Amino acid sequence: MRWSTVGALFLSGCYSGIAATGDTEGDEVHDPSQAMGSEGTDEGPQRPEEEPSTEDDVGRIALHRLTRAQYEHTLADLLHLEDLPAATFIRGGTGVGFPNEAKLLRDIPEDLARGYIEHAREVVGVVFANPDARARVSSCTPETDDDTACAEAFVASFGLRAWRRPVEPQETERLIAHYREVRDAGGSHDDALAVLTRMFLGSPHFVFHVELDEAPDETAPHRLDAYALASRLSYTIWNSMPDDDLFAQAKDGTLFERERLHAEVDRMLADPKGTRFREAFVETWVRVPLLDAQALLIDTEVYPAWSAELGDDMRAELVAYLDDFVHDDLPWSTFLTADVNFVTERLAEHYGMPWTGDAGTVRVEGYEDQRVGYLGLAGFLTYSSRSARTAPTFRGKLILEALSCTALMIPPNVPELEMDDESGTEFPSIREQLEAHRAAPECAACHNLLDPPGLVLENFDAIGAWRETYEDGYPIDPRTTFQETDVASLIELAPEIAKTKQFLNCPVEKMLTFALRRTPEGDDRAFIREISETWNGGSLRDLLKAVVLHDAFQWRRGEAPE
Amino acid sequence: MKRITKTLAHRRLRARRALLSRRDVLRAATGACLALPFLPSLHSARAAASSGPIKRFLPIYFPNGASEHWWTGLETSGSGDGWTLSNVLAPLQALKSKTIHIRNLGNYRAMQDNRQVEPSHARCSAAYLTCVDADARDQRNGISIDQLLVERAAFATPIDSLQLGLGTFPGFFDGRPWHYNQAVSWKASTGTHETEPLRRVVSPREVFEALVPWATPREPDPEDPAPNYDESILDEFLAESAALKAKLSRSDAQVVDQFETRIRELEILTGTVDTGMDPIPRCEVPQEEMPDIPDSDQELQGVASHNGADVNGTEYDRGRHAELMNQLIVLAFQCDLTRVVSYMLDDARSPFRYDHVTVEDFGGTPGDLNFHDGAQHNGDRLNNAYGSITQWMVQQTASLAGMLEAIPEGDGTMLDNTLMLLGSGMHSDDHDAAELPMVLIGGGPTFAHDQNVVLAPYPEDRQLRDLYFTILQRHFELDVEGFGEDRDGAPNALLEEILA
Repeated sequence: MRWSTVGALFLSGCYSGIAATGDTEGDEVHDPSQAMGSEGTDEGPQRPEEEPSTEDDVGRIALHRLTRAQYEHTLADLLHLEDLPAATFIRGGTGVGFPNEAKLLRDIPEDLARGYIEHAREVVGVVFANPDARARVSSCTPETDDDTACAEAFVASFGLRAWRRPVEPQETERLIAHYREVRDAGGSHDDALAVLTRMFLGSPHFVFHVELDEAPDETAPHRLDAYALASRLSYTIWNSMPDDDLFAQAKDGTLFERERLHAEVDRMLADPKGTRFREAFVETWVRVPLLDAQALLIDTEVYPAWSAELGDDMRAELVAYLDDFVHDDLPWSTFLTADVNFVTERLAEHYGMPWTGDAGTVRVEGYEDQRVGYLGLAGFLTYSSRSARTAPTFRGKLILEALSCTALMIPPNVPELEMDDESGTEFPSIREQLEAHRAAPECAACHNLLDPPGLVLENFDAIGAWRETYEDGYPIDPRTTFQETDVASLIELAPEIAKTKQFLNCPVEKMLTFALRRTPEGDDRAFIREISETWNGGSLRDLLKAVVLHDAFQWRRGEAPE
Repeated sequence: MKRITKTLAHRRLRARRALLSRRDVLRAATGACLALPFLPSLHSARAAASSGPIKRFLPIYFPNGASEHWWTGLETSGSGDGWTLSNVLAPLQALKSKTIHIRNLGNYRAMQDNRQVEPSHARCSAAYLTCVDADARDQRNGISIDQLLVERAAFATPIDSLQLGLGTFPGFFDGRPWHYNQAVSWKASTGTHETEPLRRVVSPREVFEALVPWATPREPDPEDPAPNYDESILDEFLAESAALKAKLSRSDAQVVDQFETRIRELEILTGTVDTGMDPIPRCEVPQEEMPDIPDSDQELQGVASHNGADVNGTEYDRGRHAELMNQLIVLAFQCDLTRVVSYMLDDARSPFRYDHVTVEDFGGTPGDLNFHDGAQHNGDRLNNAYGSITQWMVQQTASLAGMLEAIPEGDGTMLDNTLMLLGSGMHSDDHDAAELPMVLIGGGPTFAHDQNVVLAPYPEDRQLRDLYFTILQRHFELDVEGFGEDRDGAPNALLEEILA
């Protein structure tokens, strides 16, 4: 396979990643689409199997708290209220990777518990001051002061949605006692509901993702209960709680059916909340948020064409491009080669495209220039650069790490991977500096991997405009060799990267990581290989279906005592 | 007068929402004095009030190393008239008699055998107060000196410690979590890890509210007369936590356990639990000495978290931000709300533009005021921008020290009772974890002040952990066995050169 030369380099010290996802040695190929019982017959709902269809370890999602985005989305969806007070007290890591990773969310810093409680107080204040919002919380009125039927109905209906599972009898009993406490002290029905709402929102059952094991200290796998599956689905696709449809299917036990799950994935992606799958998962994965930070740093003395509005247009183009793959099912295999742009008049001018629209954004397909695929989008080319120059090594690093799931390990005692050298406007050129780098064996290991894509992209400046010379007139020479193939332009390079197994299978690793909220461990590698075999660079929607049908998504296990 | 009224009104609004607002509010004097409340200390349960002179600890950190101009003229040891400050250190001139410059301390041996630590910014800042390699501990860390002090000295102050900072513009994190770049303080944790990072707070308002959270005089509040049921709510969370823990694996139960601990801490603060301690005497600060905190965070745009929209724009004034933080630190000390503050003058690897700094001529090329990209990584290591930014760091420290020096306390000044350190986790533009910039200011009779201590240079250099060990042993008189780590397991040794 084409990546074989890379394999040799891995041995020389740069590559620290897990086994390449294309590696299929050993394992039996398992078709995840077969995971759900026998094929469709008309005998009604299939009973979920009692055993997982894999002998591999399905693992577990460790208990962890909601991310800030999840917390905010969940509150908004629970209360049907936008514009609630921001939950600034919830902080998350900003390391590389997905912010929903369970292990990052297991600390309760000093001010967090207090933040939950104070925030819940504020939110409840907003809800009970808004008649519409208040009515959505509970619609009935008690007939007498002793009448607790209304409160019980509230606990059952609101509690189900707040805690994402039915409230248990002893919990109901305790909560009703709190209701009575307020009423007996002279509080109104609403006063008491407000106190109960604060209890629901600050509760560990609200702020944590709770998945229970039948035997928490044993490692035998068991199927998730249907409510936990509904939450896994909704937090994967909506980054938020399940809706009433999902709760209904969890209740009647139909959610595990293969066809039903397929239909749910389609429905959830089509829902307005479906854009959160792109936001929380795809954008983070391909590192779009880097653009937001970079947009504030661009040196307008070097790039006078830059403006905040141009930056907004670039971001909108990235989003529209990603949506073609998330919602419109363009196959992943064309992610680097699809010749599609989404331009405003401003962005068209930046690209040197004739402007044909009147206003707004126009989808342009097949415009003949040097720009192709995701790597040709100005947004990518900008967020992969520095404030006053391009950063070819960083571009290469993003392509390898984010898009090809190839983790790099910086060998000891070399300077930061991010380049310290001067801008490319001075002699010697970046090319010569990089070649010097690669002459040293300890540097070559990484730079042989990193540099070729970066060098080819030198034809695009740090805000993604086409250029043939550096700012001082020094000519750009984009010729290089990628995996033993000579390439001299993005148009030649993109299909070469696109046919590597690392690129084609990368979404499987990323999506499984996101859905299982853990860096692949244990037998996750085997699951990634299995899904890769059947998915084969298809649509992200099909991949999502394969992931949610997989045993690793539908089963879990306890944890052996230390 | 008008301004302060407005500020108080704003606070009152906030206080009404605060969980702790309705309990233990001091019947405060209104008018000329702002009063701090009775506040049962969390420490009260585990420590009696300490006796003897007050001893505070205030380590200050700056990122991106120091300009080489820091050391100009400081090659040889000397004391009194036998040494002079470099131009970069000149802001400390008025306090020279209470200052020690220490040259050639390294911190690399906490991490590896040589000074070129990679990735430099993240690891060096994480190790700055811990002298432990966070990378070697699954991206966690050891306990930092300030937190060890909090734990061992057990000062009976309302607030254990503060972690403050001015970093408003996050840069590249070197592929590490935030806590490498935005926290230098690490405390022991009851959670899933042995330690937890304490992120620096950059919002002056947040700090102010931490210091004066219950400053509202107790008065009937007609808009909010109902009981708040905080106690019942906390009880409910404890009941839920206990029931949940019983259903979880051991490691998951630890997470809920930490949640439960936090709820119990709130119970103590809200007075739900009787600690049996006398309340802390109140502190009255004349209004004119109160920091003039803007009503809205918008007025200090640097307060956004790194997840929010950080603005590096013209509205934000880093100089003003620093001035407010200094005032807040003085306020905290004056009221004895805490004795331990760690202060990050900026986050590690900060690319913030120090456009408010006037570039002085240090004899180099002009350089650029983007701290990391333009100043530290300028081709000319002696560029004027780097020198000027470094000098600005010294200025803020000198200004704070000057404020403490102006306040009499005991037989001397507040500065005598406050040990300040100013330094960085890396040397200079070379990013080395050796020959760290380090100045000690104040701290009273423990130290042989007014001298330049030049220790043996790399690779025979002493390590930062010995400075911290010396401070813990000799200044705070704590019987610590050692501090930090050494790759070769070398034991700590006192840094006799700085002791009186």
